[in-house]
Amino acid sequence: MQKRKEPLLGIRIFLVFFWVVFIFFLLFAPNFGATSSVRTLHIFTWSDLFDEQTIRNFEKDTGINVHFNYYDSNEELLVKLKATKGHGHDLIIPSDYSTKILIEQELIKPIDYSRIDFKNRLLPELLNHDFDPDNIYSMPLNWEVYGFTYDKEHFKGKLQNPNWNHIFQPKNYRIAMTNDPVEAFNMASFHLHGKQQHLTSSQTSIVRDTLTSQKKYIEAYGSFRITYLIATKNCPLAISSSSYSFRMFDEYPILGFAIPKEGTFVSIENIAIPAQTENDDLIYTFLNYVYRQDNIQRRCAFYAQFPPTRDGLPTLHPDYIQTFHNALKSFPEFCFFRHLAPEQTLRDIWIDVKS
Amino acid sequence: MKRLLVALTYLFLYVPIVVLIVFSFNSKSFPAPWDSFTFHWYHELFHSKDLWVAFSNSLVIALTSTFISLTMSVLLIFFRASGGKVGKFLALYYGNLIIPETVLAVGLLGYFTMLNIPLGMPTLIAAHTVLGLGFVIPVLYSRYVSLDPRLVEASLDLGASPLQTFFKITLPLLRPSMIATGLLIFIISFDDFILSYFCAGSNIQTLSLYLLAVIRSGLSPVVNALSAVLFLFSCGLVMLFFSPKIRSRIF
Amino acid sequence: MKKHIPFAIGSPALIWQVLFFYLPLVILIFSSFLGGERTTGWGHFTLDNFKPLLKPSYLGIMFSSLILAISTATICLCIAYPLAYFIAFSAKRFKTLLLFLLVVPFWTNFLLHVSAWFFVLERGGFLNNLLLNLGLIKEPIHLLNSWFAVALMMIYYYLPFMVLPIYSALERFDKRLVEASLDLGANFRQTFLGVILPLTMPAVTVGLFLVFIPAFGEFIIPEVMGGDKFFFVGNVVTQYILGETTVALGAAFTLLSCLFLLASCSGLYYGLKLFKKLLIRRYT
Repeated sequence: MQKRKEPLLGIRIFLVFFWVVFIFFLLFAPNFGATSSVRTLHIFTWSDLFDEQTIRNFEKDTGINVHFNYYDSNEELLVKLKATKGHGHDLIIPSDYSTKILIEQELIKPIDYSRIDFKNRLLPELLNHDFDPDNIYSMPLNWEVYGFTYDKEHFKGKLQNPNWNHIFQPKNYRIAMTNDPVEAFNMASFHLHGKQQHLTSSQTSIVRDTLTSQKKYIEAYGSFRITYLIATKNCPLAISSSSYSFRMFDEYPILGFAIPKEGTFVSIENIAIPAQTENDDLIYTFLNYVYRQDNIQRRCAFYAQFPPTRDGLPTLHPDYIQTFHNALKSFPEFCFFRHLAPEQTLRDIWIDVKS
Repeated sequence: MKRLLVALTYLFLYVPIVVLIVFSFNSKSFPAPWDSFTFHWYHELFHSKDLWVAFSNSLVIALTSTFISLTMSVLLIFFRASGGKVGKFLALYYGNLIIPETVLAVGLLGYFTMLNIPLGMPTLIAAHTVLGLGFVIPVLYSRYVSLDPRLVEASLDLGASPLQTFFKITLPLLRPSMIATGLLIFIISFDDFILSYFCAGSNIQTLSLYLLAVIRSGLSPVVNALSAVLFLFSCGLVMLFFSPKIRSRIF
Repeated sequence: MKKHIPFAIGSPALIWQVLFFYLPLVILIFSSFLGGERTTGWGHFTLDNFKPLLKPSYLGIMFSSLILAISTATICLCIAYPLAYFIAFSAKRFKTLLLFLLVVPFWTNFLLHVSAWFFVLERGGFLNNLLLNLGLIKEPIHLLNSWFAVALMMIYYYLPFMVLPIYSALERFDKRLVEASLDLGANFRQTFLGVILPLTMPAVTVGLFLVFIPAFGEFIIPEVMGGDKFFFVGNVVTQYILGETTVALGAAFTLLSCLFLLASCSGLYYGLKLFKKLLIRRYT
């Protein structure tokens, strides 16, 4: 009996091993068909940055294929890029604070400005910030400011004297707040402590308390549903980015947008080149194409972002144009979202606030 | 009195869907009240590229994972029919019921990331197949075990080989269960949301994720139109499930 | 060699389950004990991931999930049992139709149901417009982004899970037992509590667990219907797992919630057994 059992077990183990290898081979299969003869550019980006028309025109004019991968948050970008050690993408679009992290981790490489023909058109206000001094590694692609989207009927016209108390201590109405813990933390901190680089733990506690006491005024948390909530009269005021707001201005005429007078946050989407890519020709062709005046105008009109050049401003709603010029004037007073505390603390506070 | 309560319950179940479908023909988008009849949103629906990509992805994933689940369970039963011992291992599949889907999704996400497997269609199919296995195998196995063994004996006595017996006797007897369970796991996979939320990566868009993106940013009448279409689709599947051949064997 | 073929083709089913169900869970458990950066290697064994979670707020969240799951299951049971009873016993001609109508929403994508309820409950939505037009209310009622909306959606979604097992059991129920009990002088209430309910307890248990376990991990319904103002176990897991540096923390919390769930399930199971014993003792 002993003799017969041994081969049985051995063969079974072999078969199991075979199946495991086979299954994993199938899972890794997509990686093996990668090299294509057609020139392809791989862009890893937010879903609301490049409109279809511009990309189609680019593909037709240059014969280069563009393939998009999307992410929903800067955290996702960082995690995915670190996991593949920067391979797989030719262009990425980090926001301000993530650019700094990417530079520190050496995941992006310097831009060769001799191959760029539009540097002098870029708005100087958007350049030379602390996350990438002299813009060695990144260039601004779009930007937006944060402010109050409000129901003009409820406030009987334009919002008078917009300030941060409108969302932290609203009088007789409920608000919609952003659902991103980093943004919420920064906003509360700015309201309480002004512009800061880092917070002490006692300052952090006060921020936590403010966010918790804000909860009773909140109708809903949601970064994307803001305009919908206002248009359906669920709440008359919300904090949102200018692009989300202006995108819906045509559809919902009752909307208004205002920047708090104490100052606010600005977010610059930068374009950067991962360190491991070798498709430099394709990359610079794309960059020069996408920064052409007409293409900037079309892209920014589609998503109501602010353009990186003055000539790229599309003719949208007058409020949009007004806000663009006002924002540029007050730009030095604006701040960026930062990790004012470690990510773990931020998320822990957020869970505290929500529970 | 009883009938009234039952009617109210069904009203509760159906009023939202019916309202949604009726307003899919409304010419003004929500939140406007009824304006006039139009097929405009259906037109937009059938021309929305994103939606169809998501729909076809979901369809492919559901069909593939259902197929793999059913095939593997049939092969497992074949192993049992050929005298293998499976009984103890069956308990492995009860884990599917005890563990919430969220935990499985989180586990799979960590697992794939750790092994550097790129998240995409293959990983989603693998994940959905696990979901399906948990249903198919216990059901088919217990159905197999409760089959009359004399039928198989008779077939062997009459000269058929074990292989022929399996294909001509056992499988046809299992077919109603297979179809019913297959439909069930197809729909579970097609409508599945949690696994896709964690394990789809950023490149694959499934129908559920698309709907979530739309809902998170407000409502769109195109979704109304989509719900009407999907509702009809579900009706069709349920009618299949309820056809007399199968129904008597389930309930 | 030929005799190994059955094993060769039968084993994938088992292998798949181990590879894609148990192995990931084991790795999840292990990764909750790992410190250090996730992507730069294995790190070292540590209990640090659990320390931040020992605050009362996290226990509170687990209890909230428990309450949500238990109340959903209980209310579903109260609605489902009479409904299943009616379909099994009283609906002669319409049985198939009623079952059909019950299963169809079950087989439609759940997010569509969410959209549908949005449509109905919105401030300018169907229900409010109807009530305004009928003159029953003066101003729209605020229904969404509240506890009410979350509870409503949970019950709506989980109802079929509860009805179907109970219907199955009632359909196979030997009606002669009911007749016998009534003949022996018991009234309907005694018959129900002494005969029908105890004998259908297994189905009730199945239904309860089919609702309780998924409802515990639910996070998307509270997010969309509750304005994301209430956090449950699933929301916390999502927050940490999808963060950049907090994955191990997420794994640790998932592990803790699973243990909590397991404990609650055992409690529920034994509670139901006790209930059945009490019923039998009382009514027979």
